[in-house]
Amino acid sequence: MALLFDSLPYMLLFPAVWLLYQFIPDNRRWLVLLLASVSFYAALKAPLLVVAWALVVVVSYYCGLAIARQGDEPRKRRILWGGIAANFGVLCSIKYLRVIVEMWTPAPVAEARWSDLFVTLGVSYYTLQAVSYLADIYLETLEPERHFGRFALYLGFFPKMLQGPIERGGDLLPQLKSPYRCNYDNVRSGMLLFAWGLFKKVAVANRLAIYVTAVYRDVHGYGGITLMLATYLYAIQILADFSGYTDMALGVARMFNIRLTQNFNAPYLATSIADFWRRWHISFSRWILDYIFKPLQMEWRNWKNVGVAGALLVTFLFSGLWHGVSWNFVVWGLLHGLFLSASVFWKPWQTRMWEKIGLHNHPLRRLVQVLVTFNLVSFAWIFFRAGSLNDGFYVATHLFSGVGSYLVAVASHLGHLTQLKYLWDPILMEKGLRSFVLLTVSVMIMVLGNVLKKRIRIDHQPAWIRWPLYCTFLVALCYLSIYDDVGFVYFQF
Amino acid sequence: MSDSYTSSSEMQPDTKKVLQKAILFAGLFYLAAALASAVFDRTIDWRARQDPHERLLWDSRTDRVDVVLLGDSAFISAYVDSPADALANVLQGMSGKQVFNGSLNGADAADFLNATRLLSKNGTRNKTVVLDIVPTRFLLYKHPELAEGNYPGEFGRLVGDSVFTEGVVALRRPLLILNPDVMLNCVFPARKWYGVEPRRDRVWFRDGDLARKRFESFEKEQVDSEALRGLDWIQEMDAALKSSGNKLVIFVTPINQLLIQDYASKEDAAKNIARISRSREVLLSYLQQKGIPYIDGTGKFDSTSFVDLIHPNARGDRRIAELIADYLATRQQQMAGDASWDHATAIGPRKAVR
Amino acid sequence: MISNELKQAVLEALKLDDWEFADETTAAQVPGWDSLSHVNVILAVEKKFGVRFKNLEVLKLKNVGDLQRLLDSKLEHRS
Repeated sequence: MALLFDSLPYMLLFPAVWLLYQFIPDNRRWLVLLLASVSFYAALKAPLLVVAWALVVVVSYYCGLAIARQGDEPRKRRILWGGIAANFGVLCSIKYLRVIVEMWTPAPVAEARWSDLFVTLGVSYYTLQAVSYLADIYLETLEPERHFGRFALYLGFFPKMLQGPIERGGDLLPQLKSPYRCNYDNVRSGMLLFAWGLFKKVAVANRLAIYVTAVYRDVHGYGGITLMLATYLYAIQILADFSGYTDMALGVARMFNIRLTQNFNAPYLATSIADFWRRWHISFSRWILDYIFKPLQMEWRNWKNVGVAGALLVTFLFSGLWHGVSWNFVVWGLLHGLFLSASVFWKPWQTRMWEKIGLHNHPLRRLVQVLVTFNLVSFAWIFFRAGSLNDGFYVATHLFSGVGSYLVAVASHLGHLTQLKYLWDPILMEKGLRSFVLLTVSVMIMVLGNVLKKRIRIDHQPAWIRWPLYCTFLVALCYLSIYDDVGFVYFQF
Repeated sequence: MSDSYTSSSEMQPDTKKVLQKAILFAGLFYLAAALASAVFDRTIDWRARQDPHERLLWDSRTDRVDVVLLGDSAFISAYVDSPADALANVLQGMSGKQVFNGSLNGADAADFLNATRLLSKNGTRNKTVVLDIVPTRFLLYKHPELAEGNYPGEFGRLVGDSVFTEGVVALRRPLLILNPDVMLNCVFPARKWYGVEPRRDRVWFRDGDLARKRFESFEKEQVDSEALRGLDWIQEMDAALKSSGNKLVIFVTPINQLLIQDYASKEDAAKNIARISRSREVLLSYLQQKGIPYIDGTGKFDSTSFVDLIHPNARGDRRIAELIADYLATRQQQMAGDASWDHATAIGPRKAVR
Repeated sequence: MISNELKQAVLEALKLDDWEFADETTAAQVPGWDSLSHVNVILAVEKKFGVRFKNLEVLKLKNVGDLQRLLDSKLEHRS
């Protein structure tokens, strides 16, 4: 289910769509994309989702026109709230429906929870996008789209259908209208971006998932070192997974000359939680900033810092609930809300503290901030990943169990570390050295690629450097990718 | 500003460039990979580095073989210390026939059917195919059996289910050098495939608590119901094999009853044994009804042949080989006897008519 | 036209010494005027002129000129 972008049918279907796109007259091109998008969504074999999407499109289209047309302020507001309510109604019913289904079907569905989440997230994305569309019309920063087909495409454009980014009307709608001129550089860079995203997903994220799932499936069976390691690995996994999908989406869109918004910007280099949210899932955090935080903050402005803190908590409570309808997501959201609220009060003291030590402008300050932020974020990920709230609390409270004795053992055997099974066991987790080596190689390629991307412009290199590089990358992709569903459990008894 | 590039018959220059470059790159890459694969296949003995327990996935040539073994973990010889003790080799020695072991760890019904398709595609004709069925297979468990089996990806790469996927498989075949399972086994130092903990020769009551842990997991996973899973796939497999002249023989594997009695409470043990018995009876009557020959291993193994509830160790594999070899020998005699009878009847009546 | 009192209120709230405000000046163009300090600006203006803005009115503001016009309409209503 979650392997949609990296499945063979998709990789063959979308070049077919692209080819068709080249030869269709310009005024019909939107139709090609729209039909492709609907087919893509229908291929998930969840007709309910297509119906929900169609409903959201129709309601939002007409509400948008109505709001703009209406001169009377109270009536304007009523239509706006009506549209928002309809959208959230669809969102909640789809999400709760899944939860109820999951309550009846036991363990295996819970195993597949991760992929299930993505299917419902399709709804979460375009409903938020529709709400932003209506709000922007109301705030008079956007003109409503009169062409129904283009509006449907705006909400359903297949590269961004499942996981965003959440596009503002002002960004995407004009692009859907502009005439299409095939641009070789866009096609090439789009393909490269897609391949890169694919690598991150199938080589890095899927490999990490093997370890993370093994641990988080049975948290009571592992000691502190392993729990900690699994959590850090998860932090990398979710970044690779999500940014991988985003790169695949942006890459495909770029091949149609459509620029979708950047969703990630080196999030683990953030110097504070606030900075983190400016780098992680950017389209989503901008959405909650503009449409939840700012209005609330303005509403509670007389309460000064307390008002800001309150607005932050509500905003991130929403964020938690939006990600998933269970308590551990709520805790995850609230944790981030708490971190941010605390920093509102703590920030002036923090600055004063650094000034006192005299390291106010020292690079060490930045290093400490990055490390602290990364650890706070990773700690919060425990709850995001845990199968239940209990599991989350268990992991959170047992991160350091057995660490002491482990470190003592390491220290006393520094001479022959490689031979000691029980020192490596918590790290290798019975998956073997080969798996660990392949994982390390994959992660290193990801890190290296990210660093090199900024320094070296691939398109400036001559063909005799580029083509072998592409070939090597493809071979690495073949060797390092793992497609087995991690949820696949065959058990021996 | 509106340019006349809306005409659909004209290709935009960049589109042409994209297509040309893409086809050129793909073509060159494919040729390079195919060439490298051909060289690799001829110069490196990559087969020696592969996991013999999953032979079907990297080598399904059965041309010089007489007997094909298919099945799940009960047949893969996971719990022996050297290749010489593996089921295929022991059987080969005892029966004098060439044996190909195509069983896969954790395979399910869908995987057996896929394996059958793969063998048919590779020209497996007129062989004897022995499939192991563990009677506990038909009990209900919390984890549902996957409709696509436990090896959908692997079989998907080896044998397609439609013209289209067949085409993709055919395109992929020359690209040995891009096969990660094969290549990584060659890149990394050679692995020991036999006699590595926990997959070594062991007996359930002696070597640690592997057997007990597995039995506990078996009890936990069982659904308390008398219902049984479907058996129709057996006939499907039989028909598929018959259509290419192969003969299916079912090996009904034994269950370590002593283990159940030892590890489970008195009533649970009785219930489990009764349930498994019933499952076996349903299986046997189905096989009899459908006219599918079988070898019933029940009661023919002593308790030291087991690693846990169902898996055989080296001793167990030996016993399995004996039973299969006996069956093959008996059948051969029968067929020879029939043939001479046919010969006699052919000559006899004719003479009589004259 | 931006009145001098409004300009002073904004400068104080942003802790700036001086800045040229025109009708079309947006928050993004002014150093230090981000979403957090925006609230302070609004509060400062409300306090200085003794008015109260409605949420929606504030959210619709696109530039300083809008703010001036909104302020003027509030002051008119009062007198």
